[in-house]
This record gives sequence, structure tokens and C-alpha cells, in this order.
Amino acid sequence: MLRIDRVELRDFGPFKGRQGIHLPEAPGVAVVYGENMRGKTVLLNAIRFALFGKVLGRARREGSLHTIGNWEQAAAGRYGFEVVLEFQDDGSQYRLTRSCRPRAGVVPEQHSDYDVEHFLQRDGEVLGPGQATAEIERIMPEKIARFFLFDGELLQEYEDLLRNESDMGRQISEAIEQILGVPVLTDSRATLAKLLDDYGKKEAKSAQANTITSELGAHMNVLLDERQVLLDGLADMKTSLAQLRQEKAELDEQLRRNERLTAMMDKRDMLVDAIKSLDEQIEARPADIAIEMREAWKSLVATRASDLTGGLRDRERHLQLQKMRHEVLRASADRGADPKICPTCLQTLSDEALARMEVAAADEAANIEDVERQLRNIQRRLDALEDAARASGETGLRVLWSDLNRLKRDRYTNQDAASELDRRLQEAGDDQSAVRQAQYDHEQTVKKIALTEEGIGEQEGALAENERHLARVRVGLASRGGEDVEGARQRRSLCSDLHGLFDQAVAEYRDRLRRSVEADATELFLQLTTEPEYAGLRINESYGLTILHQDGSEIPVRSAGAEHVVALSLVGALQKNAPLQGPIFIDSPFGRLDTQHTKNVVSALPNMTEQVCLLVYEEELRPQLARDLLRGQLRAEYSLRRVSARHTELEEIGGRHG
Amino acid sequence: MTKTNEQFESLLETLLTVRDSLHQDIPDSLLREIVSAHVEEPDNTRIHQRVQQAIENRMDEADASD
Repeated sequence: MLRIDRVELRDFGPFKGRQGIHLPEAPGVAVVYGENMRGKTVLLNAIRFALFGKVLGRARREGSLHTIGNWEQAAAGRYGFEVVLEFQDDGSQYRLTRSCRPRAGVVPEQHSDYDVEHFLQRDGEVLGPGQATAEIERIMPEKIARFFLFDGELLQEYEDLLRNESDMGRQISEAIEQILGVPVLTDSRATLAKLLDDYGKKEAKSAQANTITSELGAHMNVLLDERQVLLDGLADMKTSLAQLRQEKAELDEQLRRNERLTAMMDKRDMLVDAIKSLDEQIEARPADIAIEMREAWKSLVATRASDLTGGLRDRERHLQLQKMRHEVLRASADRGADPKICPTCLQTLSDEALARMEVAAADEAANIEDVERQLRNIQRRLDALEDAARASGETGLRVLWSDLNRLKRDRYTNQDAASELDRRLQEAGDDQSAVRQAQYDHEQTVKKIALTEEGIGEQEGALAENERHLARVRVGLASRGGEDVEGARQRRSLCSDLHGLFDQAVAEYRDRLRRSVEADATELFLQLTTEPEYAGLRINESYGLTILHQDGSEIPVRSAGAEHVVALSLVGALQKNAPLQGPIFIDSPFGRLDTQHTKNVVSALPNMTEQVCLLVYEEELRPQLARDLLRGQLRAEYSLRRVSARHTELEEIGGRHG
Repeated sequence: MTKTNEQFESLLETLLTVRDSLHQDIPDSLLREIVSAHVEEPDNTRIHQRVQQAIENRMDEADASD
């Protein structure tokens, strides 16, 4: 197991001059206390730099080396920095030195103005550069370092990524399987696949050498060549796909890290669109108002028109009655065969009544034309007056003006909000264009992934077809082949059986690992959680963990603190199950945890791995509480003491305890 | 038992279980040699040679027993 003995820094971040921490050999926990801005995260970065030559900057992107050196030293013209890591692994003692210096003759201004070199000594012997790099990769592969060197934020992300099956989640799952040893099986499978091809070719060659089977052998050779071309193409496509997925995962990560910025940019763009639309409406409103103005005079006479309409309506009703009476009298005059019977009520009419009706009919007939003319005239006037009275010219105009004012108000409000967002986005500087570029790249990468997946599908189809042809040829050979062909066939057949066996074993081993990780993570989780109704954790295909309630149901939503506890349970379970074990360095892990969870986690840390180094601020974990909880397992305590804003001193407190 | 040995045995046990479920006549020693080659050897050429040799040995054994 990897154990770090000492970390020594020279002019790294606020650690001016040469300073270091010594981690005792006895298993347990070391705590480094430091307030914000004192350099806790820098310490984590120093270890990362020593191992991989990289530091993480904002949004977890690789940071610029130019920003790492001590500023006070740089102000005095002394650039560059160095980290020395002393560690043990597998019985050997190592000393890794990684230095960063300005390039000769250059006053550094940027990342590329520096050269980085490293030396690795194993048991006092200096290893060559290639051997040193390979040895570091063997001891602590960069891909899995995230499970050994992390902060609270990173912890919280794991579970989210793993449960949501993102591309980054896929990368993390692969890293987990790498820790757990799955590559031994997958690599074995790949070796057997290669040997299977070799034996297939030998079988074809043997068949070609035999006169009876030479034709089948030649056919087999052609098919094997075709198969090789297809396999090479498939391998290239799969490599491209893995690379594209890696790129997409990084872009996802970048976009997710810049979610706030992206949201601001999206909102600003929406506001700009809204302003454009409002401008169009504002521009169109004067024309609507002009149209409305042409009719607006009507609103001035609307009240008078309304009064006049009442009088005319009375007169209209009177004239209509007159017209109706005329109609009735005219109908009555036409009494047909029985002139004394009223056609309306069918009663017998007296002579006197008949005489009155005839006089009245004659009078009405004389006036009817005048009545109808008056009626038409009134109706025309009524139409005009009602039009004027109905004309909402004034109201319509008011609505239009009010609408125009509302549009202008909305525009100003949106403009204000957009300007504010612009200001904040300008503060974000170059990130804005980087996010835009990332969004574009993401879109392109997704398209390329879809095309590559399609290509892989086609290639696999062609391979399956090739395999069917090969199988038919092999059946022919089996019945006609000689001893040589049979020997080659048996070797290929054994290799094929082995390949199938390893293929199934990969799936079986993954299942076992998942069950084992689930059981260990559950055990740890139950020690860490303060919720008595939680019964454990359930693992998914990607090693994402879901909390289970004691009634068997899954807890669908969980707090940031719960994410933290679950992720710590995963890290602990991986340490238990992995052949590759190492120290855990955690930066500010308790920020989102309440006191009881913090106590539970601190108490459980010594059981997670043999060496734990906590980088905390005192409000997060009081020194006395750490001492009370860890007792004999607290091995060292350091404090980050401020000398100036650009200078921190590492001080050992309370002596080493182990 | 170190963690590496523990993992080795766990991998082997998985392989033996799968072999038995598939009713394959493959000896434990061959599986052990294939896994060992991948755990112990640093480069692919050596791994390939060791696995190939293990398969040849197995074939020779089978021929001898016939």
C-alpha cells in the first residue's frame, strides 16, 4: 500500500521558502488546520503536482503553472517552485522531486514559459525518466487519484455523476473498475482474442498446405483477412468513440462547472430576444394608433349619438307598428270566398266593422310608402349613430397607448436586466467565450458520437456475417482436414473456449465486485448516517449508490450532506475492495455536514484506510473534538499560520503522536 | 494474505466458477497462468508469449494423455 511519509514544498503557493509536513508511519489520521485562503487546497495541489505534474485551477480545469509560484518570491524576481514527496510502496522507499523553473532567458508571464522536470529515487537509486513515469503510474494511476485526493465538492459530484449515468460517470466507473482490478480480466480477454486470430490464421495456412482442403483454406484466409480489416476498423472506431466520450465528458464537466455562467448567458440571450420582439411591437404600434386615430372623432359624438339613438328607436318602433297594421289590414281585405269571415280570428264580421276596416285600410295604404321611406331613413341614421356610439375610439386608443407604454416599460426592464447580466458576464471575462465554444464543441461531439456509434453497429453487423461464413468453412474443414489442420483447429478451439470463459468471467466478476462494494458501502454508511430509518445502500451498474429506507423503498432526493456521506461510504468501500490502496487526503470535507455527521465521519475515518490526512478549518472540525474522537489514532496536527496574504507557514502543533 | 493476492484468488475463483458452469475442460493451472501473466508481466509482448506458451503446453499435455 502506498504511504506518504513527507511532503516538502518550496515556494509553492503561499508556502514561501522550503517547508513541509511529516506524516507518521503508524496508521491513523493527520489533521492540518487552516482558515480559508491559507493554502489547504494548495497542499492538495502540491501532492497532485508532485505525482502528475499538474495542478487544478478554477472549475477543476488544469491550472496555469504561472499562478502557482509564491507571489512574494516572484515579486522579488525569483520564479519557480518544487515539491518533494517521500513515500513507501510495496516495501520500497521512494523520493519524488518535481520542479518547475522558468525557461532559460525568459521572464515568465504564462504557463508555457516554464519547464517541469522530475526525478524519482527508489531505495536510493535514481530511475530513468520513462521508468520513473511508469513507476508513478503503477503506484498511483492518475485516473484513480480522484479517490485518494479530493475535496468536499468533488465528493458530492461523484454520486450525482454515477447515478445519472453521464459520460463523466462512465469515466469514473471505469476508474473504479481499474482500482478494483477488472482490467486483469479484460486484458486477458483481449490477449486471448489476439491469439484466437493467430490460431485462426494458422488453421487456414495448414488447410491451404493440404491439397484436399487447399480451396477451403484459401477461402478461410480471405475471410480471415476480411475479418482483420473489419476488426482493425472496429478497433479504430471504438478508440475514436472512447476519445469522443472522454471529450464529451470533459465538456459536460466544463459546462456543468459553468452552469451559473451558462444560465446567465442563456438568460441574457433570452432577454435580448425579448427586447428585439418588443422593439418590433413598439415599432408597429404607431401604425395601429394612426388607424385608430382616424376613427377616434366618433368617440367625441358617441354620447350624443347614444342619446339620439334612443329617440330614433322609439320612432322606429312606432313606424314598424304602423307598417304591421297596414300588413294586417291588407291581409284582412283579402278575405276570399267568404268576405264576412275574418281571416285572422275566423269570426263573422259585422257590416259596421267591415266598413271601419276598409276606411282604415285605405288610410294606411295612402301612408305606407311614406312610413316605409321614414323607416329606411331612420334605420340608416340608426346604423350611423350606433356605429359612432359603439366606436370605442377613445377606449381603443387608450388601450393602444397603454399597451405601447407597457411594451416600453417591459423593454426598459428587460434592457436593465440584460445590462446587469452583461456587466456580470464581463466580470467573468474569457470564460464566456470559452463556454460558448464548449457549447458548440459539445453539440459537434454529440453528433460525432452518434455517427461513430452507427458506424460501429454496421461494422459489427459485417463482422457477424463474416463469422457466419467462417463457421461454414470450418464445418467443411472439420470433415476433410488432415492431422495438421486438426492440430491447428484444436488450438483455435481451446483459445475460443478460453476467450468465451474470460468474457463471461468479466461480467461475473463485475457483479461480485458490485455486491461486495454495496455491502461494504452499506456498512460504512450505517456508521455515518444519523437517520435511523435508513437501512442501507443499493448499487447500480455504474457504482452509483441509492439510499434505501427500512421499508424497502428508495430515497429519491437527498441533501448535499447526504451526497457527501454516501460518497464517503463509496470511497471507504473501494479502499476495502481494491488491491491498490493508498492514503486519503481530504480537503474541507465537513462543510456541509452537521455536528453529529461530522463526528460519525471523523470516528469512521481510521477504518477507511491506514493513512488519512484531513485539511480542515477549525469551525469545521474543532481541534479538541478531533482529539476526543480520534484519541490514539490522531497521529499529527499541523496549523497553517498566516504571515502575510502571500505567505503561510506550516507549523506542527502538539507534537507527533505516532 | 496481501490485497493483491486476495484479488488474484478472487479473480481465479470467478474464472473457475464460470468454467464449471460452462462445463469446459480447462485446467485450473492454465487459467492461473493466464491471470498471472497479466498481473506479473509489464509488457504486452511478454504477456502474449506466456499465454501462448501456456496454451501450447496444454495442447501437449492433451496429446500426451491421448
